Amino acid sequence: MMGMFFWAFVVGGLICVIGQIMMDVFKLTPAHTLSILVVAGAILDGFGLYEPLIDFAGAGATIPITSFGNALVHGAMQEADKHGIIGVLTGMFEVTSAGISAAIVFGFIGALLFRPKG
Amino acid sequence: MANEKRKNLTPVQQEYHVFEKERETKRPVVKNCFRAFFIGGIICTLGQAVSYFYMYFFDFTEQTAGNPTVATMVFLSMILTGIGVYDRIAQFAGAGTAVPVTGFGNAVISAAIEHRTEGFVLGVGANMFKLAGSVILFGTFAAFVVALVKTIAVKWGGLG
Amino acid sequence: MGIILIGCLMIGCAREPEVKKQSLQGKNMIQLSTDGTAKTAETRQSVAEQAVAQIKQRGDIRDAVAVSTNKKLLLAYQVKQMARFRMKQIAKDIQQQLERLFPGHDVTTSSDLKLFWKTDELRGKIEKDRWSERKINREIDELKRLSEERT
Repeated sequence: MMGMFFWAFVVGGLICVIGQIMMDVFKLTPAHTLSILVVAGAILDGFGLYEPLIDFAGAGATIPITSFGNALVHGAMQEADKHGIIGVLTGMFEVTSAGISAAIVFGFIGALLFRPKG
Repeated sequence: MANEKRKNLTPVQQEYHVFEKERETKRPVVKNCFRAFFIGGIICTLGQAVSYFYMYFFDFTEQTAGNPTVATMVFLSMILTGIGVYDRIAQFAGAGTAVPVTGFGNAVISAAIEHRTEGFVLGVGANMFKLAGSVILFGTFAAFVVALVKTIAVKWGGLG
Repeated sequence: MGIILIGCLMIGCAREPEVKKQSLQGKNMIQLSTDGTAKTAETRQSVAEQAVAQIKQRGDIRDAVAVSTNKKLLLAYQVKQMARFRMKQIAKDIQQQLERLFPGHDVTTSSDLKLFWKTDELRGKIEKDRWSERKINREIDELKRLSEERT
């Protein structure tokens, strides 16, 4: 269990370093960086490489935005197994819904609660 | 391409370019990376702690604890964004706060708060995904392509 | 700041098993005064003990715990950190290994930490409370359902 915390820290930190290098060295905007990371997560899952990383590092792999791409592919594949090719379209948000719905709900609540600064 | 452009400039302009390059503040890449590693690592460790919390006190397994953990992290980022702390951490940490899902939450929530003055429909509703929209678009489309290719490969190519 | 945070987490984790043990001991004392022997439960658990012994021999497993009835066997294990990359394969291996060893049993295995805690708890309860076969079976089914949840 302690190993889990340690590796979550290291792997999560390293994914953030990759993002930082993309921003600093390749001079990409944060939006470009995050988009590339999400696509990378989707592709890695396509090759079956992201799931072992989650097994190994837990939240170190699920909290970075790369897991968003991974979860989208996962939902799509799950549904595709059940309903064939049409499932790719319908199952996409099956697993990911939590992140997006939480962002929408809390975003609106935040807008109700807080006032813009400056 | 940059060199070609420079050739069209007058000597004085070229000189200025060199001068500008020298004066430009260099980004401290190593330092930034270290900060991103540290803060990003802490956020992920916190996420791990939250997911253990859900597993220990509720009937969530390692598989199912992910969703409530993400929701909790987004909730935390709402609070921190609302009181203005998240932006201050972000200034220090760079990608360390942008890459975790809290950064995604921060982008949505800060856009929502910022555009509140324009009304809830035209302001909050229309601008919420201004920053995070590209992540959702490219994530979804990439996932669609990957899943489609994989499904076809498994079904007709016999690839497992 | 981070070091303090991690330190707190360490302390938090170190305490958990202790608390659990104490609560189980409390139960133990109450139960001992009312219960007689628990022979039937013991003989039934021999399958579980055998399975645990077998699985613990594997180099990539840190710990394992199991409960069994005449028809069912539930085993939860923890994979060593560095072997967690290969967890899918390990899960398949263990499932096959146990199905070969106990062909008469309906075998359920899980690498999940939650299942590990739950199975350990169940084993403790069975030892102390002398549960009936039917009750254990129901509990195993419940845990099996939990282990199959995905989203």
